[in-house]
Amino acid sequence: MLSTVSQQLLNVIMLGSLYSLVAIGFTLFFGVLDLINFAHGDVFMLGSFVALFLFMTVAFFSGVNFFTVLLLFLITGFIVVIAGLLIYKLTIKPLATSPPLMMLLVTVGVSIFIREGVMLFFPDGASPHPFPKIFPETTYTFLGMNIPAGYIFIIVISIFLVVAMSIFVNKTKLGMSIRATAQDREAALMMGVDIDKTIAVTFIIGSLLAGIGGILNGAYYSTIKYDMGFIAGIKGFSCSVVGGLGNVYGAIVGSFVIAFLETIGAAFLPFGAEYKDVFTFIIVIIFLVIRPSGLMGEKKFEKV
Amino acid sequence: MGKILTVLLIELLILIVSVFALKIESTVGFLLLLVSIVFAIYYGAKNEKIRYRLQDAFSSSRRFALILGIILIFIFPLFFMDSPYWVFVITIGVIYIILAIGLNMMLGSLDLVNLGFAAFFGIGAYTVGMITAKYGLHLPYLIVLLLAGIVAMIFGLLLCLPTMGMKGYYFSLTTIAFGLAVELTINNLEWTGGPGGIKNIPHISLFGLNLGDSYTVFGYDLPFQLNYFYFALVIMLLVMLVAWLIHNSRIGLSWNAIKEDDIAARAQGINIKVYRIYAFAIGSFIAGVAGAIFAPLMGYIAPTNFTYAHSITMVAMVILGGIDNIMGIALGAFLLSIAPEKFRAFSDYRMLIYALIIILMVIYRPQGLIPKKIRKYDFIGGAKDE
Amino acid sequence: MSENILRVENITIQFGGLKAVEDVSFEVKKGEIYGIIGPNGAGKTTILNAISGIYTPVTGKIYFKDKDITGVEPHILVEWGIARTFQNSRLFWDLSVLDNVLLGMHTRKKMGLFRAIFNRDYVNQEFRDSIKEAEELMTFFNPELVERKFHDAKSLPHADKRRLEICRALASNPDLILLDEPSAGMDPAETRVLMEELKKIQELRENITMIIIEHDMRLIGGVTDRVLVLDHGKKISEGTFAQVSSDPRVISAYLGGSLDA
Repeated sequence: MLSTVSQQLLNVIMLGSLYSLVAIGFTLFFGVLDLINFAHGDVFMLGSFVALFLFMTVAFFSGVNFFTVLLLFLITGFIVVIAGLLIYKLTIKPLATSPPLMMLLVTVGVSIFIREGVMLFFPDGASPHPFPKIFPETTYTFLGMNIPAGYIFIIVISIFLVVAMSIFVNKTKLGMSIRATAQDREAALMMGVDIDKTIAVTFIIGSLLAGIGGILNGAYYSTIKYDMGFIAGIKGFSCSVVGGLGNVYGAIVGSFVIAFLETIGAAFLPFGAEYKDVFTFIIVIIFLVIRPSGLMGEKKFEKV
Repeated sequence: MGKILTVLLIELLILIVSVFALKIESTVGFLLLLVSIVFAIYYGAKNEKIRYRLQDAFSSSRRFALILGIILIFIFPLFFMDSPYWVFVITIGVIYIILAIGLNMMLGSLDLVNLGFAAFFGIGAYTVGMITAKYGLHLPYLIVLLLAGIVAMIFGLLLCLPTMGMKGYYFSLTTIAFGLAVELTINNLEWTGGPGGIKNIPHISLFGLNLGDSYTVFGYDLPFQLNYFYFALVIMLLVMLVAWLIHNSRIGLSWNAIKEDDIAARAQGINIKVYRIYAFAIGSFIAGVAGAIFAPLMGYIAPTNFTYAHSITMVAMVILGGIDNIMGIALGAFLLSIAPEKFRAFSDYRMLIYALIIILMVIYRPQGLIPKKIRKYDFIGGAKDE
Repeated sequence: MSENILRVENITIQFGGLKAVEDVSFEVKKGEIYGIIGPNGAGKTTILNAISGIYTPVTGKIYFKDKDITGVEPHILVEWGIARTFQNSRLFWDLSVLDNVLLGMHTRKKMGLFRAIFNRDYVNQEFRDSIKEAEELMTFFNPELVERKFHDAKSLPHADKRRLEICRALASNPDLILLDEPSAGMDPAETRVLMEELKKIQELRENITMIIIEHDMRLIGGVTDRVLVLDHGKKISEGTFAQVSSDPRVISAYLGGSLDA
């Protein structure tokens, strides 16, 4: 029994870490731009496919070692950052003065565009692809849990990214400008913050976290598919809503809450495994109804 | 008289061009035709003189234009008697026009981007499938049609109540979740046939006629799909009429006020909740009705007919055609349901092209092909422009 | 039956921890033009929002025609006779000028779904009547509004936008109309015309009561019967404009600034 419980706990931690990496992007975009980027989940998916592609080409010649894996992460990160910037410059920026409805629709369009693009242009893109084993395959036993080494890597990398992001946002000038813009865009503008640059930076951070999240997700489930960004995006958005949109730490808390409820639901509810996703959606809808500002969000008063 | 002639010529021209466009075999030829149509419309709209003459002709012989248009639409499929498949494709197009008009009740009238609208379509279709195929009940079809609409409407209200206070992204997220929940449930439940769906849905039987039979008129054997086309067309015209009546009533006006500014709308005494309930009830009812035509036409339905991709397709139709303009929406829905068939060679690229259409339209022409018009109240003849 | 149409009793309005309005009471007489003034952030608009039902006070009561209206939803208050305009005009920008005024009549003319679909004679007659009434109302303010009735509201010149918003509010036949800075953004000449129009409203609608928030002291001095002065959410003075403008508390609240500005 203990081992089942602790094994479930491990699942919660893994899922929570992966969800966080997507949820943080949602919350950042919402903060600086009042935007929900429906294409964000597909950037996550793109990350895993870019990594797979690199692996198929580069690692084929050099074999899997520490440096190739590191290189894999760096190049993938670079490419998803470019993708994120392109999304911003080409589709979102031109709509800066349009009604919010238009921005919502454009990100839905971009989301399908990326998804279908991968399906059509990646070799055999419509089928699920096995993801390469980029982490050592040793398994440790601890408190009755079987912990594969890959899990430890995933957790450590996630923590590293979140801490790095947190330091960047809190300690650097650019990070401060993100926070200032999120708090009061007009005041930030008057204080000389370059809003355009700030938004671009949030797209860099958000896309980077999601893209790397995509690789880790591939390593965790060891299989990837072109349409996985859809569910990932909805989960990420849900986590940031539950935590309180606009609050970075809220997004992390929300991710673990959702991961926890989902794991519990799948394990203990009848038909829980089949209806896992339905269960999550019901939780989110309940949250949206009773506490739309989320766990850590502040209640906002609409100015009249 | 000259005006009536202009209307007659223009509408005949549209008919001939559309028949020709669908008949043409080569993709290149079709593309050339498409490009020349776009150019013709573009320059026609730019030239003040032509535009004024056309507007004048159509607005002064409104009734004639409408009746002639309807007659021509009834004639339209007769050009495709040699290929029942095309009649089938056009019928699906008509069903999607019905769906897009239903979706517009939320998307166009109230700015509520429902990304799970296909769920209502599916619920309508499954209601028919369950009643007629699974339980084999022999109810009159019109009752079944009504039931499909009502069941979809009940689900519409179920979605409406918890989302009452939601706007924008929150609403869209909830509708995605709702759409997925419906799809997954239908897919997982044994009761609804699981991933295999429902097979052998009987054809519609109406006033003693079986729409699945092929009838012979003046010695011509008409394909059974034609029966469905005419039935769907009648429903489509009814739906358009209802949409027009509502748009040109205080309900449509209040919807647009809420969309523009909900706080100002409340300050005019508009009870937003009531109007959201109207939008959901009517919109989902219409989608359920569309499903009730779809299921017997196909004879076989499965969860894969009613996915997120289908919801997105419907949104793309409304955006392409023109938000809140009935003729625009009909055009958008028809184009997007016919185009994949014309571009068979590119059929894999269908969703990619839809996505591009959404992106490009939103950035470059957010008002759609036929933009919505300011209400001029010419239907009562009382408010002439000075 | 008292002659007060509106009675505000000790209301406090709070956002989070911040008290925007604290323990304010006042009464407005039937047929009166009542001004509310005060420096920026004094809580003027917040009070208007409470009267029109957008905010609910945490403590205190608001009575309209001796009926407790605290916490009643805005759309019901319009039906009961309270109409308003907004500080930064909130017209329906993409709808026509005519539609804006028609929407102002909503509470008197709304119709159910059944009627909208099955009783077109009723609908058409209703629209004919409403349009006639709307045109009369617009003509009263500015005949140009009628000429532009099929234009987008956003295409109007600034002063006409503000006029149209007053028209829209009057279209509901209110007993009490709340005007939030009607002269904002107007030049002195336009403000003078507005003052005349505000006085004319009372000729058009007998017994209508107006509450006006303003920064323009000439307007307040010229049209109001009595004035309430707020500072930092508290009531600091009340009386005729002459009385409050010589009240030392009012003068110090405006940091010695002249009230005749």
